[in-house]
Amino acid sequence: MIFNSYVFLFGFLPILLIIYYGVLHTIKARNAWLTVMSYVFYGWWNPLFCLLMMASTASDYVIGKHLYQAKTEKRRKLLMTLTVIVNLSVLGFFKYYNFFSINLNHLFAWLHLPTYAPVIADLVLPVGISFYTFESLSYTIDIYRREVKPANNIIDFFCFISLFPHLIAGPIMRYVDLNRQLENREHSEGKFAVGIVFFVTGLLKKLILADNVAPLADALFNAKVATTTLDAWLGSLAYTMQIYFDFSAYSDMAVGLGLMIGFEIIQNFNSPYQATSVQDFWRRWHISLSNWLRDYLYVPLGGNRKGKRRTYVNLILVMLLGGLWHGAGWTFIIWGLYHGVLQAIERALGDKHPLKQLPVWGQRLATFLLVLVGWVFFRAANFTVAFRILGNLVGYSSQHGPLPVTLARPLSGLLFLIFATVVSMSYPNLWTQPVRLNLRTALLYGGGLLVSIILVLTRQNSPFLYFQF
Amino acid sequence: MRHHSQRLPTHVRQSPPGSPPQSAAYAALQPRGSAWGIRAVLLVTGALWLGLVLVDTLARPWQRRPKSWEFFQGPREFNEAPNLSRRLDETRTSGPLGRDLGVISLATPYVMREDTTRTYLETNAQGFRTVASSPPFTLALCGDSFSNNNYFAEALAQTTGLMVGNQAIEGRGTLTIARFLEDRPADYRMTKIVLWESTQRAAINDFAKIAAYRNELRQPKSGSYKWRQSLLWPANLELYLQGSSFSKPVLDKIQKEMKWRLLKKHTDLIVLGRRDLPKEQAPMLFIQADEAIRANATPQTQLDSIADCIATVDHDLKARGQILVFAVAPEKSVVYPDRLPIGVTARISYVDGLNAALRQRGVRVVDWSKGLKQAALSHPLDLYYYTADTHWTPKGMRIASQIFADSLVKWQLTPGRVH
Repeated sequence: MIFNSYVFLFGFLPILLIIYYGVLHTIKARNAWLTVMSYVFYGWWNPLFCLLMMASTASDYVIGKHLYQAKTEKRRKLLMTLTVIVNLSVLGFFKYYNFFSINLNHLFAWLHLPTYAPVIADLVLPVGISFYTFESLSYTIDIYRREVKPANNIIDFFCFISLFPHLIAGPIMRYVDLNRQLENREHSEGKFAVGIVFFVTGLLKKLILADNVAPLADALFNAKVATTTLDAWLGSLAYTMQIYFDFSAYSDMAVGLGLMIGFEIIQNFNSPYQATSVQDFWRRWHISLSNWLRDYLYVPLGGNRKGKRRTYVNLILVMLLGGLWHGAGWTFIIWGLYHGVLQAIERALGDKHPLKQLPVWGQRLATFLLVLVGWVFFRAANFTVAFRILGNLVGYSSQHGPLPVTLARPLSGLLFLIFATVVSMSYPNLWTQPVRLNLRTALLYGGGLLVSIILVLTRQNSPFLYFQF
Repeated sequence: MRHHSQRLPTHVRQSPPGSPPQSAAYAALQPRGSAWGIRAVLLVTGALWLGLVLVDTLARPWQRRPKSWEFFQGPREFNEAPNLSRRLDETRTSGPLGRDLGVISLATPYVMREDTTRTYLETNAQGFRTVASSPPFTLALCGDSFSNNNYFAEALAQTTGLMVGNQAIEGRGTLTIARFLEDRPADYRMTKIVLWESTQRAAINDFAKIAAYRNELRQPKSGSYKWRQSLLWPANLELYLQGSSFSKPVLDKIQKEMKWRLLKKHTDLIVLGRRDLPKEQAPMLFIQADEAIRANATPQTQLDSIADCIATVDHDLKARGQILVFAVAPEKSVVYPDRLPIGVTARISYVDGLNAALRQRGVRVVDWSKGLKQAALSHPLDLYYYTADTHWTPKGMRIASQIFADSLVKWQLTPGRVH
């Protein structure tokens, strides 16, 4: 089920809220209800996926309990290794098995050896598996580190993993973010009203901005031939805006829905296109993933404690794995590597970095352009497309190929692209503004909700980009 | 990152490790406003949303539901279209230009000579209706929106003398042929001739889908597969609920109107045909995206690829003893080029190029474009296409069925034309 669907807005959410506030009054009953409904939400794609999530959650719950009670360091390490193997095996099989097999077969074919790794043609990636696996894994690692106590009861733990607002595309919550809220949380009219503001803002960002600039991006990335320089820039810029307004819209909706049921979900975006360096960008973009990678990968690898060279290697390695987390493909790996190398250079040069010599607006613009180039790798189906678009961005196209084509430039798409670019690069985000709850806001967001419902009911479903990762 | 809770009026406090929060980072979660302001937001949005939900839910029992939920399923889609009455969509051609011309709708001056009586065609549970014929069918009509009105099947039955079964589904007709190949109903076991009527709008992407449709239809009918096809599978239920929602058609109209007024944009841009015609001739509307008049013609390489797809179907039908006859339903601009606005010309490269490519591949082809154009020239008072719609009229269907019947006689597939 997706937030911007008829069945969510007209069926799931009203039923959930009416029972939650009208019938249930204890926190335990409410958590149990949220767990049941979260499984309904998740099972809407494929009910069989629920079994996988249930098994993964149950295994981490049991291992977490034993890990906390383990007396010896050896047993603790054994259980920790077990949980890492279980979680990463599930993720590895569904997400990376075919990628691994195909590449192994290519390697063997290149070496003129017989290929034997079977490729599973109809292997379906369960939605949100990358998100809930990381959440589940962080729980046991935190217990291992003695930073958190295991969940008091299994319902609360199942509720933490499956909580529908953040289940499919984050933010990646840690148990420590939610454990006390699962035991006791405040429900108030003010919180609910702010939740509506966040939710409607997210809906509008997705339906009006992300969906309207998407055709410009799709036209470029689906084109089979070279395009004009202007079209390459417009298409790349459109994807840069599409992915931000799509993903941050989902996060806003998650926060809004969380507030409606009393949960405070963490901020995932902080005006990333106003970053003044690539390192700053990663402090603002998909914050929950950056923090996860920092806490569970970068720091255990040694972070910056083992000398300069090791710091650079760690940075690059973490970003490379971050790229791989987004998808089993070489373009994602190169995207991660690209960001890792840029961050390593920034760290190595410090204040001598050429970016630092520019005024703030120059730093922002240069960072934005570097990020935009990275998105070309991220979105392109393969390197041929990526390098063709990068060539077109600087006016290069193959001498032997056909003349660069001009793509369709729908006026509405261009207007929304300009609006999205200006807003994302120069305006503060929703989190930094105190929400004013008055009649004006009520009418504004009431109108926004009506427009959103009209768009939801009259358009084809447009799933969020981050569902696939 | 998670210290925003400390700024909220809540008892929830967390004490995780991590960097301290930025001072203004979570101002949004510290709302400003009186209790009335909060209630205003809750009341306005809540009343609007729950009002819509209530209306939608309460109106559901009175909504005319689709006959079968299969209507919403991809390759198993059934044809509901014959149940729908043909009517004018005035929102399509409303707007400031219409007002400038002094008419409610741009369609108005173009439909004055057209028969717009509403018709309601009753169908069976699968959405098909045959009047002149009864099973077993010897001629199967696999087509798209040009065929799914049963008048065409009736005309074919009358002119060929064969028992005609109609399998047409709105769209590009490719789903129809895939389903006929893989999921043929029992009434069509005796079929000898298959007429594949295909709109001129069908492009290579549409024909390329046939293989995927067929593959999906070939899946073993296991318990799991049946579940996935049933209404109990969540995605199917969602399609059904949204498709039969009371609010959807109402909001659809609002969205169309808003889009037109705000963006001056519509799915299909209308080309107003010539109105300086002799008095007895009816002016016509055309669609800018029509294959024959849009900016880019379909290249011959794509026509060859389309022909390859059709030849594969021909081969598979031959293997089970059936004869395929392919025919392009020409666009109105091809049949009535003289009623296009001055400066706009209709190309015939799609019909001619595809027919030639198919003949090279040994596929039987009927060319309706020349016969219909000839009839339109000879009888300018008769309407073979609707003036404000892209489809042919019952008279046009009659001409097409006669041309088809003559071709069958020529190929000695039938003894002679009946009428």
